Amino acid sequence: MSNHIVLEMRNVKKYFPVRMGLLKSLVGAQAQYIKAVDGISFTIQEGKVMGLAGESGCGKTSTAMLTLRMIPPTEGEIYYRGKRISDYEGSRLQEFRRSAQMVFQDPYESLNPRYTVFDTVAEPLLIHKFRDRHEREARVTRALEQAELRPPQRFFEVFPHELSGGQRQRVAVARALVLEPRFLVADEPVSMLDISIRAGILNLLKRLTVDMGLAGLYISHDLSLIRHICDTTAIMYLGKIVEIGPTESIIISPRHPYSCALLAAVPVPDPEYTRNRLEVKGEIPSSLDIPEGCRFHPRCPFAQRICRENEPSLMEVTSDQQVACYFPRE
Amino acid sequence: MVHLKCGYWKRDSLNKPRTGRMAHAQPYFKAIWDQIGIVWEDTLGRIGMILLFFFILLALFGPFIAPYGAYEKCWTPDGKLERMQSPSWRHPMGTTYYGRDVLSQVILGTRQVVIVGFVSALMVVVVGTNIGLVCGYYKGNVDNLLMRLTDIVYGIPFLPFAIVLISIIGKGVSSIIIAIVLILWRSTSRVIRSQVLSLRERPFVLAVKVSGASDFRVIYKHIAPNILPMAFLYASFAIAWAVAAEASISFLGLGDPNTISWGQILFYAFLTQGVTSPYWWIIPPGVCIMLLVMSAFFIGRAYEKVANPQLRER
Amino acid sequence: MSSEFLRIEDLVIQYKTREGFIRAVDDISFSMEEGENLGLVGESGCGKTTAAKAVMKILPANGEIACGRILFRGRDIVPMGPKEMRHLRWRKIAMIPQSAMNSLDPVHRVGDQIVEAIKAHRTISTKQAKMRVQELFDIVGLDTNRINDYPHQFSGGMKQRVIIAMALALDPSLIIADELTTALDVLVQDRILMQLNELQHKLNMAMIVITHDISVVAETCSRVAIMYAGKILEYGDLTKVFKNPCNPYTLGLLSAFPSIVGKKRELISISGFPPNLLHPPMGCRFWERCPFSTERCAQESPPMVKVAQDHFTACLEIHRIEEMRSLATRPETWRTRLKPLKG
Repeated sequence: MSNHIVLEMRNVKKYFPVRMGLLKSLVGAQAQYIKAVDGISFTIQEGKVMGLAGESGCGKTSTAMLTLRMIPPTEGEIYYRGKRISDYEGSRLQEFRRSAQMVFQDPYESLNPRYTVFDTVAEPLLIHKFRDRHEREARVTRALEQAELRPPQRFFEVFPHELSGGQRQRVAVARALVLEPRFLVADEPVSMLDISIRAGILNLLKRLTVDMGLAGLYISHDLSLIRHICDTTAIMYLGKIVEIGPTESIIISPRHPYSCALLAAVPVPDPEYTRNRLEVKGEIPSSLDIPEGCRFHPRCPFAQRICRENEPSLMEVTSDQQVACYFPRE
Repeated sequence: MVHLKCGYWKRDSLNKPRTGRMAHAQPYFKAIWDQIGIVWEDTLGRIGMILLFFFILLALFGPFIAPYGAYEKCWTPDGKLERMQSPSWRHPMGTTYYGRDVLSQVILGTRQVVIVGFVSALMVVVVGTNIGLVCGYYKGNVDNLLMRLTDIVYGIPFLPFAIVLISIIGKGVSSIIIAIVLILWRSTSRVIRSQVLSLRERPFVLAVKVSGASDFRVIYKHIAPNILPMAFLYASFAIAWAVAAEASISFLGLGDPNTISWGQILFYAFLTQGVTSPYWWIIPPGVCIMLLVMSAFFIGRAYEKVANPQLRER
Repeated sequence: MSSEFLRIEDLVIQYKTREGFIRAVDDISFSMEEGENLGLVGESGCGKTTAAKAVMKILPANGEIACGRILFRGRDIVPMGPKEMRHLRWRKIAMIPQSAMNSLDPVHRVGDQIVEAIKAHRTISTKQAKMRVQELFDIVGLDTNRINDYPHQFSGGMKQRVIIAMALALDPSLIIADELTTALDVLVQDRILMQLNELQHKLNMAMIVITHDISVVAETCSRVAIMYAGKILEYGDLTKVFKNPCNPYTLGLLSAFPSIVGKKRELISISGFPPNLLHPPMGCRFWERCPFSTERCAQESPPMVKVAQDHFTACLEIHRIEEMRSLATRPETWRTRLKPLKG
């Protein structure tokens, strides 16, 4: 197992322009942007899963869309296996799609209700012009096997509404695997499933990553799930990564005040455990109106003058953990 | 057997799973078959379907059933024209001013009405659905342009337009169909567009785009099967409108002079007799027009209950 | 002597469908004291929301309470007519349904919506109602200057607080909260739960917390009932249930739930899915998925037995509990099955 870097993001930004009314543009007002992703960089290696954690509006989903090149970056570069895919178009992009796939959050909505399981899983093959029917059958069978839907043939004719949530999600995984990708993105894949079956899907994803040498990007707001499956974790806030490092290090000793607050806020299934909360005031500001300096400073209980003036960039605090903060916690 | 949720066991066709290319037509076939079943369950829908079926049979086999020709003048044994005869055993619906058998005219007129009705409805739905699909999916300038066009077409009143058009391009079956299609696509496109606007945001559409599907594929293989119910709904309404439109056009005398249709029967009745037209001449075609329009509406109504709350399978 | 606040006895609720009757809640019993916090935990389809709706008697048209009693402060609610229920609803018992924050009317001001809710259940003047809204905003920690704002101007957490304010409006003694914080971000959830806890103590309010999230229950409730397929499998004092679980399903849930503290452990996954409630199994509802079930479990429905003070469980194999507890944390235990099931 080599340590090849499969995906690399370099200072990627994604700004969405906000439409101005006619009046405003006449008056010459500044164009406004939603800065969904405001300069993030990270790498994902073969056989490793990286977690992207954060609350709503932090830019995790936009980041996922960028890694899959479903949207082009406003600035910055995205490299897949050394090739710069940020400006790919047309057939090269189509070729790239074979290697990068996604599993979505909602098992009820991510499958076309009119397609059978076979149709759904075979669709990517048809899109990429696998003309031989027997080869398609073989690949679909293999994909369903890998997703632990056994025996595969018996699921061919079944429609999504006849399956349970867990089974549907496995079909979604099979669909993602059928083209034999090298990079898999999972966006909250278990948040809509019952608790007793979540681990099945999570363990499946983890095992596939290791066995097939995939690089995985796992997006969630639930840090306890991230802990379970991810090797490294990045915590995002308002479009930037505020802390990044090995998952266990971040969970056990978070350094950024926001990470500390997030982790301290996660409820624990032990009635005798008392958490040490970290009070954070206010609400998440809108991405239209990002605070000056450190974006977290208006809510940070430890903010100093420098935090209000200069935005900190990611700095190494231990050998493999980086924090964007002037006063990282111990 | 596959153990599915809720403990159902489903019979699988292990021996012949559908994996060939035709497998991709399955979503459409299944969709169509489902819709027919849904309509059959509703009482009004069932009446509508039976009536419609009856008229279709009449249209197909009319020439073999009708006792006389459409424009055939009928003579009494002693050589007199059977003009304006009230209903009798020989002419169950009486005769016209020109001595023609009304029953035969009604039976033979069915074909014209059904053809115009179905062909126009089909074209209306095809045009309207495609415009709706394209607008809803691409949004932006294409959408704006086509929606403006739809607005304009909404403003055009049907009959005056039809009159002008037919006086320019001449009378005939195709003229009627063209007139109908040029105007009636507007409602379908609006409705389909709004459906597509919401469908395009659903995760399964994004999923297939991530797999690399082209826009064409996404629109026609993934979104379209899901709007089929709505298209079916508007197809049945379109039949109703087209039949009524054809009747109006023929009634004004703009229909094909060589082919009889119900509207045309009424045209001749009013032409020769005006408001004093006898009941046996105007009631049969009038009732037929009503019944056919109503049957199409019943089917549509029965179906609407289901087409609107989309995807009841959950 | 504590007068019993809420007691549910042998409650059966069924839904009428085209295919027959679905027993969504099948013979459950539990009780609550004044000011207490009871957690109703279970996965989708276990009947927890149905049970809650029955207490408020807001079951849908095809639902009915087939038998059993719901005793609120000693009086049986089940036979009560609509008029009597109106006195109870919102004044004594209030409910916060799932995704309530999304059902705020977007075209009316938030303050007006609360006023409307108040006036629907009590005859007071609009002026007095508005004063009450001011009070409520203070209680839940919202800025009173925002009473006249529209829902879209509030964030998710603030909308949830508006909903809580609405539920508190008439000073109920029992609040039923269905998945209160499921849609909220972690920091917001924490704040709301803390605030609710404070409110509860201040107002001596009882609460039924319905959720699938056992960590939320562990932190907010003092007692818990674990439901599965319409039945309560384990019930009692929360600490006892969580620390000394006496039911395989509880063991499964606890071992399937990840934790952010402590050593990282392997999570288990229970294969299969809940039984079809149109034709529920004869024996224990959980027997098909339970790695410890026997032939007897498939035939006999287990009765609720007491295992300790305020700790009850419904399991025929309770004598094997030590063995079960040690095996339950291993994923392999939950994978081997009598019949192969996939899911």
